[in-house]
Amino acid sequence: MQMQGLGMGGAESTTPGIKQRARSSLVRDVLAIVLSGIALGFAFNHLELTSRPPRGLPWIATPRVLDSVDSPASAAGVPAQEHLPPMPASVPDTPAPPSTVPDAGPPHPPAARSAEEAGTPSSATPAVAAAPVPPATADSGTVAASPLMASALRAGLPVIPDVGRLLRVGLPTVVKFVEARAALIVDAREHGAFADGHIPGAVSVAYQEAVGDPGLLETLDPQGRPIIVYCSGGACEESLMLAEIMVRDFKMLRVLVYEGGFGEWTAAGHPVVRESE
Amino acid sequence: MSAPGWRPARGTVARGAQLVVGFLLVWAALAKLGDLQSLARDIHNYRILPVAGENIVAIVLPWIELTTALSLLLGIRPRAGAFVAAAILIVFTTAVALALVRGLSVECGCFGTAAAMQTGGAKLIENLAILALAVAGTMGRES
Repeated sequence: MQMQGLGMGGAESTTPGIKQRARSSLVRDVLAIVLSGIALGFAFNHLELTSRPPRGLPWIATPRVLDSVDSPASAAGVPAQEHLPPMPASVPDTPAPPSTVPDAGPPHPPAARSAEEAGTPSSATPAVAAAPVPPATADSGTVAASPLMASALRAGLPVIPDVGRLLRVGLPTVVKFVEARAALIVDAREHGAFADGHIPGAVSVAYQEAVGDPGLLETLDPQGRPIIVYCSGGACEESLMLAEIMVRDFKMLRVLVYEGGFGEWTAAGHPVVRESE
Repeated sequence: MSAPGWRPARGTVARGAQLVVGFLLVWAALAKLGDLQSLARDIHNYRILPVAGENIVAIVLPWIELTTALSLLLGIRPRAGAFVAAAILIVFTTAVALALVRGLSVECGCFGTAAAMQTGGAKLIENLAILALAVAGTMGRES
């Protein structure tokens, strides 16, 4: 009916029979366009999946849930000590409590790939490639020796391994990191929201701006600390998407997403810094 | 409505609209095909579809856009192509409007990552304008 209402060009003066044929022909043509697109899509993806290396998308998407640094290491079936980076001689031998040992998850080949692509020295990368979960990378080796990391260990903070992918972090751990200033806190919200209030010590890197000017991320210097990215919390996606850019495009290490975000932070009554303060 | 001279003019306008929409769809399709992973992620961010179906949509959507664009540009059943284009744009516009209503600020995914743009009022107006062109494209004669 809608098609008829929109007009059929010169068909207005034709008989109802011709109109009917024109309409069914139009429906057939529409179906042909859509079905040929669907067929091409399936064929193309099938070819991509069978190529070496496979490049297509899996037919069925699986829910994307980040592993948590707060969950027990036993979930991954890896002994807790394997998650800990080597302790430098200058740091007291005080491993993190078992409850704070991060869940590094199952073996993850991209971790090795990202380390190689990042150009890390080959002397350090074998551990990344061979171990079920990389206990340390070249970066975390230097991190472990840094005063910041040493103070983090002394403060009983969880050791964040570089697993070459994003991990999520909960409020209690974020609080510890913020209080110890042992992580680079990145606010992915827009500047206005940041100015209105943010987590103490956070720097503003609005996701929307970072997409337009990825160079903004190059200026970030975590000084060997983990990076915690947050946005408003709830349904906000900026933190996850910004963190993905950090890991994928800038090969940043130990990037954590605080999914609870600023909403959870303020709801829990933690201090907030405003631009005017 | 059937004044002399209107029909030829309407045909020209419709053909012009079909060509513009065709070019836009080719651009959108090729940009999406260049990075299906990002497209799947963008679709996920809208939080409209069940997760299990997101990849299927990402797999077929660019190709439907491409076949539609070829229909419009090459003049092969262009009126049918314009109807498909209008349907696609109604879906896109609804998705952007829903994101806006729900307060989601996500990457549109409309033209891949090459021209990344956030959902919002501007994107909604842009989609409505292209939808109007697609509807204009349905007014032409079938060749």
